Amino acid sequence: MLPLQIRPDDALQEIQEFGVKLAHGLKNLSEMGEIDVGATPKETVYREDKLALYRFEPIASQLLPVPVLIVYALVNRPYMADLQKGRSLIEGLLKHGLDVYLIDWGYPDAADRYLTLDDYINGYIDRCVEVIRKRHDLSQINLLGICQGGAFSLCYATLHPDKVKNLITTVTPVDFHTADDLLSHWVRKVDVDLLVDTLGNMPGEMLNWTFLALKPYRLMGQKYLDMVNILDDPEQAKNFMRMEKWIFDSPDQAGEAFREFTKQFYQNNGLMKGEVEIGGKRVDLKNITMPVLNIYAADDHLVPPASSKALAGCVGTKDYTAVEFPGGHIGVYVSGKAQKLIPPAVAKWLEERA
Amino acid sequence: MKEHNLFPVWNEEWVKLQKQYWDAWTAVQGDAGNKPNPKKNPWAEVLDQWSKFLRPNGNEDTAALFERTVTQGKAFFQLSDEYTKFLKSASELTKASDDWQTLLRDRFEGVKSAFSSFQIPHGSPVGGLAAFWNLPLDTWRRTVSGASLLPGDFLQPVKPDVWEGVSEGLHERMERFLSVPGVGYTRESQEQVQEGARLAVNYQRAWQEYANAHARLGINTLERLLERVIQGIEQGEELKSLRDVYELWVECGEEVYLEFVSTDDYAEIYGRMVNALMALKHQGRAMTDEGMGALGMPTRRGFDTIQRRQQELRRQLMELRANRERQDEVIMRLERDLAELRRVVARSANGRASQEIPATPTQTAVKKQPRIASKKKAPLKKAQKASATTTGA
Repeated sequence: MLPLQIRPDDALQEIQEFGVKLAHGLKNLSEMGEIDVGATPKETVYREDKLALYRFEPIASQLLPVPVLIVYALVNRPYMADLQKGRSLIEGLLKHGLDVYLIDWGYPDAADRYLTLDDYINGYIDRCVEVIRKRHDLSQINLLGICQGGAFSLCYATLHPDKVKNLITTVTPVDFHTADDLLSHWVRKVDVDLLVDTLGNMPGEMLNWTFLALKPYRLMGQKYLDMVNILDDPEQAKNFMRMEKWIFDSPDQAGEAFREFTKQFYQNNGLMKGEVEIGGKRVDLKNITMPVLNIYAADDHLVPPASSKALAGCVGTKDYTAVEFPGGHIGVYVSGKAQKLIPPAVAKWLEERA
Repeated sequence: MKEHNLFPVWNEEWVKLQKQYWDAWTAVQGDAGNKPNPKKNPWAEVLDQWSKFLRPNGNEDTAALFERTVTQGKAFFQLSDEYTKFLKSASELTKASDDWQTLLRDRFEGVKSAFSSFQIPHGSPVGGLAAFWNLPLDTWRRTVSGASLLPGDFLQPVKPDVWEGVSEGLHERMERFLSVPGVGYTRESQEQVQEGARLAVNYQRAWQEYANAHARLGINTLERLLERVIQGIEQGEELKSLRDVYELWVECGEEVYLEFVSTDDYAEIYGRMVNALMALKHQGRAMTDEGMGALGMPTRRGFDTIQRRQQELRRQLMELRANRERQDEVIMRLERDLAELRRVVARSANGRASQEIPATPTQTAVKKQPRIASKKKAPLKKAQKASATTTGA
């Protein structure tokens, strides 16, 4: 007999068990109620348009002297960095004595259609940096960029090197033309001008489905069957729901900024070539002479590790450190492993350069 | 022949248990009289019924997750059904037989033909096994739905499902017809409509090309799965549960899909489809604008101009504000220097080292922001009061 050892009674049992679990799980889901996200207390210290700059309430009795500003991506929402107690990059950083600020971009609408990368980087980010510099009476602060926010942080540090003491990039794309970069591959033949001229802002839902299309069977199929196994436990079910809420919480993208980012970064690979232009100024990564810590994820399907690692050969600093995280694009912020590895690594690195 | 005895009443037991399961659930729901369609998978059917009672109200996040889970649960039930049939037919084969691979492949043909029949019915929600089988294509459908311009999407009549079955020959004839120049008083609007129809044909063609390229994904996945099963058998590995089969199927699906979407050909057809859709929507928007303009109503083009100008003004305003802040700082520094100079002048004029002229800052000076103590736990409230700033809309 071939070793396809699935006895009929076992198969029936398996199906029955799955059915029961699924039914119980769905019952739990239906009774779950609202899902809370964002665990750490914070205050809003600056607002402009849809943007909010938060300062998180410090936890440690001794703070490092220079605060860190987290620059989040325009895609999805920043509460991913503070999903819940015990699964929060921000909580971890605070525990290790960092003074943490974060930019929340909000939900752009039609009135934001003509926001450019210049508006985001030399406008919004720069004004947030100014607020923090004044609050702390400092000439320089630390920047920590997340994904696309990392690319923005690189641009900012290039254009305003005098205001950045240390730069940390996490799962940040630098080389957009690596062989395994599917997103870049797909967008290569798309007429981005026509896309933006037609749609105005880029619908967040459209981007979201594009990301899910990177692994459709796993992300839209298998994941939900795996979930059935944890739905019995209300806490685990809520954890799953928080992630699910985050995944489908996708703001629209301001049209002009999307156009510039897609054309200059994705299609032209301008960051690597030194051809990106923001507000009429060229972004040359060689201008980055402050210390750089580059954290990338070994199993990242959105930003391939090779894309992030390329930063090593581009920056002008002599103080460059790369850290490989054994996990995926989101796991680097929310997994249990990440809580143990990332905040202490960042804090130690900053402490050595305080 | 002993091996046959391992599955004595396979079909009977299988169906019986499913029926029992169904009856049990419907009895719980007090709906035993509502019998399922016997042609459908009863496990999926019962899930459908069950989920209707439980569907959460009010919370969108939970409701969406609920739907996705139900859909994939049904897919798993149907997948299990198909594979148990295959496993039953494969149960009589032995590794000792020389042609076991050929026989296994023959048995697998049944699975392939059963799965091939699961296609997304156009215009209807995706469900059952099709929900898994067609995931890549369905994901694109959802992607496009996010790009809809108007409520109810006025382009619905030119969506691919409406064009289903339209032959290439008809496309060509239609294009020839559409290239006839417009004449007379309404020439301009005739041409716009012709252009819209031409773009619709173009998009339909691009969509067809894209869908055709996906058509073999499912079959290729099954072929990969069979190869992996055979490979596993040769290496003495066992599939011990239906869930193992499912996991292997997902793995094969992702492998085949990745190979497909990584090609240059895929980038080409993907680009052609997105561009064709955008061109069509762009034309639709222009035509809508024409109509709105004729009625004296606001147009999208007009709004675009307003929004662009507004953004330019805001940029200038921010620049002016930043300049003023810089000037304020310069003035403050100069005033400090001036006060110091006054002191020096006063001292030297009077020849008295102790004499000082008090410096009084003018109203234009900007107050220096208080520094936040960083060495100890920072007083949050104090910092907030001191420098919470709000600008803009």
